[in-house]
Amino acid sequence: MSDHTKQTPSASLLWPYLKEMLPFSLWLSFGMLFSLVTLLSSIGMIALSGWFLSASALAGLAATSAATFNYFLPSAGIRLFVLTRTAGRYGERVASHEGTLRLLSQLRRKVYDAIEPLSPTALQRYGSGELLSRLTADIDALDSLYLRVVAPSIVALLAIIGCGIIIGVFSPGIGLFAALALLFSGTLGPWLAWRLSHYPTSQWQALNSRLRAQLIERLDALPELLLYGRWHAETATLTKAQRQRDAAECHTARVWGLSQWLSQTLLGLTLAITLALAAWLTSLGSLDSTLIALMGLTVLAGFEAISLLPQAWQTLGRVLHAARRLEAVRTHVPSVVYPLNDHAQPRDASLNIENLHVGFTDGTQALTDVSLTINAGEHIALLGPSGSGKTTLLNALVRFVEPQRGSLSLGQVALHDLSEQTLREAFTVAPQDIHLFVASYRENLQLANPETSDDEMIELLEALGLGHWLAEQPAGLDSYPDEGGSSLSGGQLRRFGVARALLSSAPIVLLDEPTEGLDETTALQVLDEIRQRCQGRTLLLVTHRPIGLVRLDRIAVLDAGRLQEMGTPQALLAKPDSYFSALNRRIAL
Amino acid sequence: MTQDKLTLRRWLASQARHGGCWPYITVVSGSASTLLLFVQAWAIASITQRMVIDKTAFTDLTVPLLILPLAFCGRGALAWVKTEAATRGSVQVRQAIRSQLFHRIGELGPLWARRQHSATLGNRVWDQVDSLHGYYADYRPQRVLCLITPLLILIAVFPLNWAAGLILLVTAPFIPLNMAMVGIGAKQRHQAQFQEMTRMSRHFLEALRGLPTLKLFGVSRAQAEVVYEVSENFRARSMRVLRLAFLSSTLLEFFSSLSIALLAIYIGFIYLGHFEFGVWGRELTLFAGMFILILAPDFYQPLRDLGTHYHAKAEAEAAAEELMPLLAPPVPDATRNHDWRVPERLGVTLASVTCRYADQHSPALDKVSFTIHPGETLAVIGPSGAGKSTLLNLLMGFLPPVSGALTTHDGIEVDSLAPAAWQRAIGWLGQRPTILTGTLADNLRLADADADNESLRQALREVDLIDWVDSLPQGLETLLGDGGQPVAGGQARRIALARVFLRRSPLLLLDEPTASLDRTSEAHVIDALAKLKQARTLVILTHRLDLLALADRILVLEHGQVRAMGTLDELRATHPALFNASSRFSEGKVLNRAEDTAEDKYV
Repeated sequence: MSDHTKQTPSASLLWPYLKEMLPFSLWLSFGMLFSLVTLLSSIGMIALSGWFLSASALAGLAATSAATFNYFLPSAGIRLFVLTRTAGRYGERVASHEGTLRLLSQLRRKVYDAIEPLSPTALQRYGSGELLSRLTADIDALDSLYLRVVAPSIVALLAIIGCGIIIGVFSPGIGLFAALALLFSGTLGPWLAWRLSHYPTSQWQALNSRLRAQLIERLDALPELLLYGRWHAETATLTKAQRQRDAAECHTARVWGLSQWLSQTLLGLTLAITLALAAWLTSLGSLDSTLIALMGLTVLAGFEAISLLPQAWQTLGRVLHAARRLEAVRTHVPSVVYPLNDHAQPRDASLNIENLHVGFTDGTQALTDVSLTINAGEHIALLGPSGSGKTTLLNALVRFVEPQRGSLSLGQVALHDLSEQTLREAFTVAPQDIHLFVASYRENLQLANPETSDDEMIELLEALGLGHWLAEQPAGLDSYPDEGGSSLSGGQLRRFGVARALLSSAPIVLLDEPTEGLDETTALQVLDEIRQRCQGRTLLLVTHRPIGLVRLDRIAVLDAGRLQEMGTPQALLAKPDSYFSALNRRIAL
Repeated sequence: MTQDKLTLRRWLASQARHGGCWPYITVVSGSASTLLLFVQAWAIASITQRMVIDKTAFTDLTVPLLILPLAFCGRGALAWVKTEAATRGSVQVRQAIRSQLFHRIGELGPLWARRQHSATLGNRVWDQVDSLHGYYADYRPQRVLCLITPLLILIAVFPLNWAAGLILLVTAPFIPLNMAMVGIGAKQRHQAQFQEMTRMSRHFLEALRGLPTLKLFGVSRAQAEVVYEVSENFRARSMRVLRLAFLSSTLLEFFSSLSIALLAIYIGFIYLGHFEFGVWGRELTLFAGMFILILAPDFYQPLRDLGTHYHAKAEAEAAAEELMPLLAPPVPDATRNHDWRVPERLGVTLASVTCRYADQHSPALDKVSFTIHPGETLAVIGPSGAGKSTLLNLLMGFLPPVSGALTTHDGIEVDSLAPAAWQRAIGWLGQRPTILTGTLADNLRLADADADNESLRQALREVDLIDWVDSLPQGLETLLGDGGQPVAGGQARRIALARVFLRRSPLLLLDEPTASLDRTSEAHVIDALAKLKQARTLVILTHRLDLLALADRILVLEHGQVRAMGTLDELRATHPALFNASSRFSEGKVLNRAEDTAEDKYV
C-alpha cells in the first residue's frame, strides 16, 4: 500500500490526512475486520460448496460411501458462512461509516482552523467564492481516501493472503502461486489505472473549471451577446470546448475499461493455471481430486476483493488534487498574526493612518500613500468612485489585509500591537457584503451583542425603515432568512447589516456603503439614524453617493487609491472644481 | 414544491434518446458478458467432472483449460466496451441537454436570466447537467441488466434442474419485489448519507463564507468548536438512519448467501441420494451441479450493482427538477419573424405603450407615447423605478409591450420583426460593460466579427484608448479578463464604447454611461459620446447634469409615465424644481453658489 503512495512525490501530501485517521483507528480497523470477515466468508462458502459438491458426487458413486459420507460438518460450515457473511457485511457498513463520519468532523474542524487565520481579503482575491465551495467538496474527497482507497487496499491484501492460506493448506505450492498471481493482478490493474488516468483526470479538472467560469462570464454578458447576435456563436464555442473536456472523460473511461480487461485476463490465466496445477497434481496422485473445485472457486471468489481496486485508485487522483488545493490555499494566502496580549492600551477612539500603501499579489495597487487622521468622536465620510480603494482602507483598519508600508494606529497604539480581541472590541463594522447565517434574524443580530433585547432590535430596525419588512416576516425576529439572505432585497440587507453593526457598543463604527440601493428619502433617514446612534463614537462611512454627507464633520475623497480631497463639506463645496461639488451637480431625480 | 416524480422520470427517460446507440451497446455487452459467464462455468465444471468422476488423463483437459482464460479475456473486453459505451452515451445525452439549455436561455432572454442570477443559472447548466452522468451511464443500463442477467441464468439453470431454478426464484422474490427492497434501503441510505451530507457540507461552507463576519464580531475562533459539534450531531443523526437502512441491503446479502448455501446443500444431498426431486427424472452430473453453483452468485450481482447506483438516480431526479422547467416547450411566436434592411438613420415612435414584468402587478410603463426623431439625442431622466430601464428593455426588444405599438420613423412595426433582426439596429452600453476572457481584439469583435485590425484601431482612437493599447506589449492581442491585463472601470466602459463605434447601428442606447467613473475617464467618455451623437440616434439614461448638456431633448419619466419632455431650457423654465435639487441635500448659501457655477458652465 505504502509503495503505491510513494510513486509520486506529491503523495506525501496525504500524510497529514492519513495521520488524522489514527484517533479513529479502532472504528476503522473494526470496519476493515468486518469487511475481511465478509470477504473470507464469501470465499469460504463458495470454496467449501465446491468441495462439498465434488466430494458428495464422488461418494454418491457408490451406495456405501454415500451412506457414510459426513455431510453434517460441510453443510453446517456453509450455513455458518451465510451468517458470518451477512453479519460481517452489516458490521462493516456500520463501523466504516461511523469511523468515516467521525473522521469528517475532525477534518472539518482542522480545515476551518487552517483557514481561520488567513487574511480574508487576500483569500477572497485568491479564489473568490468558488474556492470555498471547492474546499468543502475537497473534504468529502479526502474522506474517500479511507473509505475507497486505504480500507479496500488493506482488506484486499489480507484477503489475498487468506486465499493463499486456504489453498496452501492442501498444496503450499499452488497456494503460493495463487496468492502471488492475485497480488500481481491486484496491483497491476490499480497501478495502471492510477498512472494512466492521472493526466486525463487533471486535464478534465482544469478544462471543467475553465469552461464553468467562461459560461458564467457569458451568462453575465447575455444582454450584450444577444444584442450583438453573438450568443449562438459563443455557446457553439463552449460546446466545442466541452467536447474536449468530454474527450478527457472518455479517456478516463477507457483507462478504467483497459484495467478491467487486464484484470479479467490475468484472473483467467491465474484460474486456468491453478486448475491445471491442481489437476496435474491429482493425476500424479498427490492431491485429492475433490480439492480441484475448491482451489478454482477460491481464486474466483478471491478476485472479488481486488476487482474494485482500479476504480478506487482512480479516486486517488481526485484525493490528491483536493489535498494539493488545500495546501496551495495555505501557502498562497498570507495569514494575519496577532499578539496574544496587548502591548499597550489605546488611549481613545481616534484613528491614525500614515503613508499607507496596500497592494495585492496580482500587481494591483489599491492604496498609495494615504494619510488620514480621524479624531475620537469625529464623523467622517470616505467618498470615491467604485474601485478607488475605499473598501481596502476599511479592510486595512480591521486587519483583513496587511499593508505593504505605512502605519495604522488606534488611540496612538499601532494596530499590530493589539490582540485580536481588543481590536475586534474596538470596531463594529457593516461590510459591503452582509452575510446572513442560516439562523433566526434574532441570532443574526445578536452576533454583534448577545445581550440585546428584542425591543432594542425592533426599535432599531424600525428606525432604519425595516419595520414594514419585519411586520411581513411570518415569525418576526424568529424567522429564518433564505439561504444567502435572498428574502431581503439588496437595500434591506444593507440596512440589516447596519442595524447589526449599530447594536454593538464598540467605540468605532465602520460602515461600507450603508445607503446603497436606497432612494434618497430613505437614504437620508438612514444616515440621520446612523449619525444619532453614533453620537460620541468615531464614525467612518464609506460611500460613493454624496447624499446627506454635508451633515458630517469631514469628507475625504479617494480616487485611484490616493487621497484627493479632504475637508469639511462646506469647504469642499466652495471649490467648484472639487470632486464633491461635481458629484453634487446632479439632478434631483 | 416537489414536482410529480413520475413527470420527472418521464422527462429523464425521454432525454435518454440522445444517447444514440451507446446505451444499447452497453446493455448488449452486459448481456453478452453473462453468456461468456456460461462458458467459464462450463469450463470449470467440465474440468471438475472429468477429474473427479470420469478420472480422465490430464491431457483431456486441454480444451477447457484453453477456453477458460479466453472466456475471461472476452468478459474483460466486454466490460471495457460496456464502460466506454456507457460513458459515451452519457456524454452525448449531457451535451444534447446542454445545447437545448443554451438555446433556451437565448430565447428566454436577459430579463429572465437576470432573475435567475448568473451563478445559479451557470450551476444549473453546468453542474446539474453533469450530475445526470451516473443515471445515464450506470443506473439506466443496470436496470435493464437487472432483468436480463437473472433471466438468462434462469434459462440456463431450469433445463438442468428445476428445483435449483426454483430456489433462485424463491430466495429472490423475484425482480420487482427485490428491486423495491433494494430501492427502499438505498433511498433511506441516500437520504441519510447524501442529503444529510449535503446539508452538513452546506453548514460548513456557510461557516467558511461567513468567516469575515464572524471575525468582525470576534467569534471566529469559537466557531471551530461549533463546526465540530454540528458535524458530530449530523453524524449521530445520519448513523441512526443508516443503521436501519443498512438492514435492507443486508437482507439482500442474506438472501443471496442463503440461496447459494441452499443450492450447494440441495445438490450435495441429491448426489448422496437423500433427495431425488427436481432433476427431470435424469441423473444430475457433477458437471451440472458445479455449473449451477458457479452461476448462482452472478444471479444476484446485478441487483447489488443497482443498489450502488441508486444515488445516481436520486441525484438525477433532483437535477431534473431544476432543469425541466427551463426546457418546458417554448411558445413559438409566428408573427415575429420578418427580416429587414437596417436603415442608415432610425427614429422610433411609441404609441400608448404599456409594459409589464412577468412577476409584477403594476405596469412598468403605463400608456407611454412619444417620438424619438432620427439623429436625435434624447436624455431620459427620472427617479429609480420610474421605468427608465424598462424603456431600454423595450427598445432592445427584450420586453415585448403588453399593449400599444412601437414603430420606426418610416412606419415599420417593430413587433413584426424577428428580435434578432431588430437587434441588428441597436447598439448598447450598459452600466457594467462585459469584458470576456480573451484578447482585446476578441472583445472588440463581439460587435463586428469581421472587423479588420485597422477598424479596431480606428474605434479605439474614437474613444481615446489608442495610447493605452499602444503601451501594451501585445497591443490588440493582449489578453484581458481572468488572469490577463487588469482593466479598470473607465477602460472597460470605453472598450464597450469602442464596440458601439464598430457596430455602426443607427440607434444607440446608453445606460448611465458615466456612472462611478473617475473624472478623467468621465471626460473621455463624454468626448466620445459627442462624436457618436453626430451620426446616430442616441438614447441616454442619466442622473448627471453634465450629460444632459449633450441632449437635444430630455424626457422625464415618473411612475411609468411621461411627466415632461422638451429641451433643457424649456424644462428649466417649466419644471424648475427638477434642477435645483442640490438644495435638498446641501444646506446654506455656499451651496447655492456652487450650483450656480455648475449651471453657468452648461447653459
